[in-house]
Amino acid sequence: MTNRPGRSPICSRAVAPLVLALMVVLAGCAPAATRADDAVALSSVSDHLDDASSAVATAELAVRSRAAGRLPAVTADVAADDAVETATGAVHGIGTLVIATDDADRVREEALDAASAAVGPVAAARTWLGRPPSPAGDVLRALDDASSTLDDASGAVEQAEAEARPEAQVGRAVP
Amino acid sequence: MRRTRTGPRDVSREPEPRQPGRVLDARLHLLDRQVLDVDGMPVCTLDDLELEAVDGRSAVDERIDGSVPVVITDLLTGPVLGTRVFGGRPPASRWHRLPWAHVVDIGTAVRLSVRSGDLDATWLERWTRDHIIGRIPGGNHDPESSG
Amino acid sequence: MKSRLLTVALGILTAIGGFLDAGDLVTNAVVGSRFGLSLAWVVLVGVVGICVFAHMSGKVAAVSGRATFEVIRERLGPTTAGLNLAASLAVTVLTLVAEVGGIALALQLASSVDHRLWVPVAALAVWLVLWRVKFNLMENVTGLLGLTLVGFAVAVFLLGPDWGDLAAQLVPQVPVQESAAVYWYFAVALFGAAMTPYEVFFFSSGGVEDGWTVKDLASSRLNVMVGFPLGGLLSVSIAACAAIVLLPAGIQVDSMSQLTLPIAEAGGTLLVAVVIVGLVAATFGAALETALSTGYTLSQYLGWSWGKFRRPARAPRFHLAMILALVVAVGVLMTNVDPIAVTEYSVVFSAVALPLTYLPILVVANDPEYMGEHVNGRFMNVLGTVYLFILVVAALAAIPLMIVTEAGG
Repeated sequence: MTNRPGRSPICSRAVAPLVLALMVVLAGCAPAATRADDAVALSSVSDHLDDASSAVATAELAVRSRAAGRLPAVTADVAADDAVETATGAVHGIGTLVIATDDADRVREEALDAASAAVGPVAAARTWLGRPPSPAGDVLRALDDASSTLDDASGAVEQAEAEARPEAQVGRAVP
Repeated sequence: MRRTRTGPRDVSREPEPRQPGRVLDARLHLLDRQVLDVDGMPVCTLDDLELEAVDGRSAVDERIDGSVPVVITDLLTGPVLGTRVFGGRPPASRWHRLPWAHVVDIGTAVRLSVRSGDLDATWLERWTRDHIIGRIPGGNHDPESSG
Repeated sequence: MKSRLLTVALGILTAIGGFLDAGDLVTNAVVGSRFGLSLAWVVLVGVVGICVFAHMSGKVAAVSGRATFEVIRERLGPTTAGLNLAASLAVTVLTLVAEVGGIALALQLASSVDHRLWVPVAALAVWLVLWRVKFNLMENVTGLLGLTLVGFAVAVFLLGPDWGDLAAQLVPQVPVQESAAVYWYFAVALFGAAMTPYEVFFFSSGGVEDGWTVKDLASSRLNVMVGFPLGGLLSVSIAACAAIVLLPAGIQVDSMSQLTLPIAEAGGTLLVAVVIVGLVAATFGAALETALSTGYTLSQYLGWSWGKFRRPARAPRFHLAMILALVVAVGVLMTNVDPIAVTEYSVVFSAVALPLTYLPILVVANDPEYMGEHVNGRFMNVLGTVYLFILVVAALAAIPLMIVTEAGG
């Protein structure tokens, strides 16, 4: 393009420094961009963990209500079905995130384990709901365990997220 | 019939002398009004007007500016809508005309003295009725009030 | 006298029962489970807005006999009104998709049969009612059955919350775990849910369908001014149920089944059954209204014969338009899209499209040619202008907020 005859030399002289400046800016951004990307990815992991926790809590509430005879069987089944869908969706979401650094990836692995571990108890809750009434103790205990595992993972993710976030972006309060 | 001022507004024109009867602005009072038939059935929306100069020249053949007195010969509907939005002019064979002589009243809607079923402009309505809606069971009955 | 009282009562009750639709149900539950009652003020703003809006469009319909979109076309000309039509129609069809999906989800709650299987059944049922049932009967039945959503208000009392704590939540504030952008995004969504544009098309065209005259203005105003605020109260009670039971448990609402959990907690199986009837009725009624609205807007813009008071053969293109809208809705839902997600988007786009219908109505309500002595008074105009400002701000903010928050995160 710049070799085209008849083109004003002023033009190419002005373009060269501009391109250079742009490259410098982009180069300067690159490492920060990765860190910021990880912060975004980790915040996404954190959102998916919230979804998984929400699914576990939904299943737990449905089981408790059903055990107390307060929720019709069909409705409880739908609630548990939706919870299973949310929980598996969270696992899928965490598993398909693109993570740049090893540190963040370790945190993701942990979150993935916690989310995957939650699917089982939620699915078990649905199975329990479909059977004739039996004590709900085991199901609820498993859901409780899944819930606390998810809480631990959430804590770890939030800590990593705070570390990964560049100084300039600290604005949102982390509870 | 009321006397009607029509045609594009021309700022250079002399103010019109007071006319007997009611003065209507074609854009404000006619265009895009709902047209109803003698029974109050909606016929169409008034998409455009066909004008003719009093000395017999048609607006299609020559540009008529505000200096030439014109009368409305027909109300137009159908494909002319597209040309009002996008510009251009549909072939005259595809115009759906409603003669101005049918108009009996102009209020918040334009009322005609004829039945919409007798008008060429409503052929699509009839086609839809005869080929689709009329063929579905119940299409020719009044809605149920109980049950 | 007695029958008149009955008519008024019926009008108010159907206005309450018909106030809620899938958008209100889902958005209020989502908001309640994430923000408690800190966004309840938006419902108040929205309810006053829909009262103003519905009152004006009802008045225009009653006095001039012309429905909203005839007026819009007449005032804005074919081009601007055409763009307006495209936007309004898109939002209305999106809302129709949400409502038909809502019926299917509600029926799933009662049957445990997958909602995707219910979609064609629901659409067929909606069409049959549009095809065969008289306007009045359709309105009254869905409205009265929709009243069973009072179950949400009953549930709030049965749950016996700490009222002081609940009242403290009413103060507008951004919860610590949410960002300000997300808070305002849901504020816009809730506003759009309360003031969906289709309600205005429906209300004004319904006025023409019912053959309103100036004499009916008083009772129509009463229906609106009493019925809609009470409907708004139901909206808030849905949010309250979610805030009392779901928020502390860390449950974020992403399905309709979660709406029944606080109800089960409060009133047990019976109340759940009652509320499910209400969910079906509310979404079914709204599906009828949105389907009719697609027919109304298109027919009124193009000057076709329309209305349920005519037999289908006398308004063939109107009925064809509604059939096509329902086919589109079924087609969209068959792509396995999540109806809840569609609902969440539909309320936000409603907020975007609102000024398009609001402004022409406000203009015409002040036009003596249409309104004669019934032009807006000074109070209505001040209120109308304030709302024009609110609507424009909400419409402009909606899309940027959606992008920034990734649709609420």
